[in-house]
Amino acid sequence: MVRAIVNLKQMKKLILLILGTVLYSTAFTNQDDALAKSIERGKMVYSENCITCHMGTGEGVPASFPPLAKSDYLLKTPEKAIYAVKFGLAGKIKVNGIEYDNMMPAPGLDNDEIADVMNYIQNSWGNSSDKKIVTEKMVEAVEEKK
Amino acid sequence: MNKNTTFFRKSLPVAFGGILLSASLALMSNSAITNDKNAPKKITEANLKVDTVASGLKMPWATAFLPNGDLLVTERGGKLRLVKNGVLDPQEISGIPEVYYKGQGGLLDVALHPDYKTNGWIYISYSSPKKEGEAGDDGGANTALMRAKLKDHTLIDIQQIFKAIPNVKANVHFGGRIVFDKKGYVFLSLGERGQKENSQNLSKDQGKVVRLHEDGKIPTDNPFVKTEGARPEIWSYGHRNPQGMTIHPTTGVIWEHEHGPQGGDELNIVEKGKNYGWPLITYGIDYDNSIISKDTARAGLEQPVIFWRPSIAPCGMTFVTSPKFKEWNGDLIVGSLKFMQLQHLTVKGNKVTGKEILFQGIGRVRDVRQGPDGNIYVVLESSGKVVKISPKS
Repeated sequence: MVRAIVNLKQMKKLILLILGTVLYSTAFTNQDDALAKSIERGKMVYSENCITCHMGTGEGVPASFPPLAKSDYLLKTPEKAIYAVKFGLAGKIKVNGIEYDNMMPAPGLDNDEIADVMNYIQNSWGNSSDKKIVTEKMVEAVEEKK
Repeated sequence: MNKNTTFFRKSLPVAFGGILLSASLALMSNSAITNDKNAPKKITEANLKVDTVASGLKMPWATAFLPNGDLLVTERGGKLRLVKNGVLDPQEISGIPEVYYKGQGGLLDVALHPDYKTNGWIYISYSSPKKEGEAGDDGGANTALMRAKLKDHTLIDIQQIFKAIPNVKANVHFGGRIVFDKKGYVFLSLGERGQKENSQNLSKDQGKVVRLHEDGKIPTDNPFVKTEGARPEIWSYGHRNPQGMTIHPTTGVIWEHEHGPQGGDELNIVEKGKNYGWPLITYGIDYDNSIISKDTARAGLEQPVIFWRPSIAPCGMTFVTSPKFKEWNGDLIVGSLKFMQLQHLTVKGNKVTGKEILFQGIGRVRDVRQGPDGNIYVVLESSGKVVKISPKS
């Protein structure tokens, strides 16, 4: 009888555990799904606005346009990358130890498109955001420095 | 006698050929001597200077020279600006219509009517958002051409004289260059808006060069006026994204360059009714490295004068016809967005025989024009400047 009670308690724990795991993984899958969909949309944005300079596999153009693939600038400081996509970029920057002095015109994208293209470039060509997603709100929060 | 005549007849061409050969040899050596002694000094970058004539512009796209020496400059964001005595007028010019400013779209080219002094017409191209009743995607846009007159800081008598159809929901390839010929026609270059197959579709304006009367009416002798289903404004087709266009100073023929796919930017001589091949033939591959066409040439499709590999992203172009650049007269100066340089192309007839890179690192070049003073003016998107290139002495 005592055993049975323990068993019942264990059972409850187990059920909670299972339930929790299911719920957690559902939430997790939803976010994964949102990320996957954003990446998919971002690919279109990329091919329209970025690909001619940063190239099809994010390698950039030596001495002219920095790489996005395995770029420390992008992966370590994504907020700087969001800034560049939102407002454009001019002057010297250092990417993977190499200095670039060029200008990127602001592509004039909406915040949701910026989030999508960020998710795409952060998760392509060997890049990974560790399943973290850039949201429209995060893009909205980046403000222009005057 | 008969025999002699025959011999004479047979040997005449040979003898004549011999004379020609020696004459041409003499000529050649003669010209070689001329080159050594009297040839003008070659223009090099070291003989030239670059002066800033306007700064503080935000993404300038094109410039035009007003007779009083002022410059009109378009900013892609949608503003038309005035530069007076080397200073950007803080007051923008009002009257610019709503512009689709996204991706590569925005306020684009500006050109003065050849008789501007008497009629005052300014022509402006821009990405125009879809209006009610127009064909195409909701939320889309396509390139339009307007004209207006300038009164102080206001555009008046505004007329939209052309709108490319259909509207397309994409941010790329608007073309947008305006060129007047010497016969009263205006040409406008149009990109394919990211839909390459429509460059070959004569029922759409994408990927075309169109020819209009200066008031926007369609000339009755345009090549496809009588072709069923074809848009009558089309002058040539099979273009991708033409952002350089200029008129040859002696032949009066339009030369154009266009952004191609990766490794396939082209310089073309644009002629009535011709098909420039995009995307059926191309020297480039897609930016995702996929093959667009295995062919670089096909019967009935025009070949470029040259193509650029790697792509330079050409933007802006002028023929040189200036006493200040005598040795370059008849040659082309082309701008490069991608490599931030100018290219001097030596032109002989319909061929380019030489290519020289100038002012490496000058900035992202949007426009190249020869000014009324014979100097070369360059619009730089990256630094927001217009600069003047002139001989040092």
